[in-house]
Amino acid sequence: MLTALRRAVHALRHTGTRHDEDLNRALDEAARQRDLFYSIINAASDGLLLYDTTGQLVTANQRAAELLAVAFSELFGRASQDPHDDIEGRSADPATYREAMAMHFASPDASHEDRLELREPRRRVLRRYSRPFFQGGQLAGRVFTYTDVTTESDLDRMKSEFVSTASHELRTPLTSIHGALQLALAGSGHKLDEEDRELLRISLASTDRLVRLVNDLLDLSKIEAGRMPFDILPVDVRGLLEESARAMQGLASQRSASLVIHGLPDAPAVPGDHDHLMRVMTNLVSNALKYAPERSEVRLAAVPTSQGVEIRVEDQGPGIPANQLDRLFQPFSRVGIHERQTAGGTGLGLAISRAIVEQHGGKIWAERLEPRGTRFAFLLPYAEFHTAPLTHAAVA
Amino acid sequence: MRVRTVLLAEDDPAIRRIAEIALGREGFDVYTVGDGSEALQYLEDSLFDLVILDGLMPKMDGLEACRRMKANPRTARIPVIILSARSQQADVAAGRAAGAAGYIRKPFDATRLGRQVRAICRSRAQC
Repeated sequence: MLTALRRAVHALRHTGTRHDEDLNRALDEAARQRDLFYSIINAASDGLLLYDTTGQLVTANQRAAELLAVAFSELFGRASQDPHDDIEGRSADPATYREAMAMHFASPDASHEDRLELREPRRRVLRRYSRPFFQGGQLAGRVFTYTDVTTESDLDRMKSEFVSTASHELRTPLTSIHGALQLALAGSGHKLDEEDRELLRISLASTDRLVRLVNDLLDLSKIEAGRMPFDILPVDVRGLLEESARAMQGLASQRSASLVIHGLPDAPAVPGDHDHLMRVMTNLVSNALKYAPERSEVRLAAVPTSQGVEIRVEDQGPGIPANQLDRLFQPFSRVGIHERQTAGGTGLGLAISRAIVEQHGGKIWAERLEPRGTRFAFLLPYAEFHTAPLTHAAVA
Repeated sequence: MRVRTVLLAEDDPAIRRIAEIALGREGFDVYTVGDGSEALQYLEDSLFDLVILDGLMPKMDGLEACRRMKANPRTARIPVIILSARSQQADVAAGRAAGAAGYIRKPFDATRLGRQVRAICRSRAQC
């Protein structure tokens, strides 16, 4: 652009115009702007690539070349080879590299985020974010930023592996304690006096709880690390609601509450793992029943949306303070007044539910209902499914 | 044939003893060893009505010991149950492929282990 301007100035000089000074000033100003622009983008700690609407690279910063391990000049495709061929070859999942890039360009007006893992020249995990840019109100292309998240990704994996190994190591002795207590109570219970038997029963109940806790921790770390197998088939959402209502009927009558299914009978099927989704449902329904007042309704509903099917579980309980709604899905974040009454739970149910829903490419959340009650909802997308997150690790 | 003598291979001593007591209460005569190769050695001298093998053991795991038992005409007819913490469908299928008559998932319920073993034996003509 600047070269073109210089040429124009030169041509004008030869025609004998007297605006030389103005032109020189404009030229200097343009050069300053250019230097400023490059100073800024080259100082950024994120890699930056800017494409026009045809997918041609317009500009890039040094950091992008560094993060993608491509020579700066090669980014622009002046070399005989497309730099993406090279990046694709070095990515951890070459089969989906082009597809993932195409996803970014698929909806021109939307921003898009995903991850890219490179294997060579060294392992590097990049968060790739893109959003459209406009010139004069017109869509002009797409800006990509690449952030190095290798350290976070490694830490995340180390955390998952540690929790997984620790739970596994805890499980073996726990199983022995549990089995030994069971046999002692079942076999020689009659030889013991009442107090000793009571002590054994207390030990057994606490061990039971510990076993559940360790199992839940192990499951959570496995799901988060993408090491839990998911068997993806079309799931009939209405059927899922009915099945969970049947499964929880006992608890409902115990709590003198009723389970009612609302929503369209013809909600479309979504891809999902039936057993894992049942676990989410029973968790949400049993939570709702725990907080449901006597003779109240717990409502289940399926609502098809443009992105997927939204499944809702609503209670008419006391509700959860708005500032605690997000914390609910953190491990061990028991919220509200009933925490001491929910001794049966491990405090991991909602965290596991979130992990399962996220493995389906969906999201889960909680809302306050007016005048009272809470709605837990999760969205299962029609198509997208994350089979292998990038933190994928060797099988334990 | 009524199953009476059982050879149990399990490397964890606590779990081995618990399984031994649980099976003993169900009326089995239980002999215990610490891994698959010991189990095979034991089988050279004496025969059992049933062999229960832990899936994961040092030296020789349960699946390998099961395969070798099935390859040896002397021990091929003895039913084998695999006891394993690896509980995916593929693991159960691997147990069946190795020739096991049944698969019991760990952690097992100590008060039900004996009955589970009886049930597997009843459901298989070979037991």
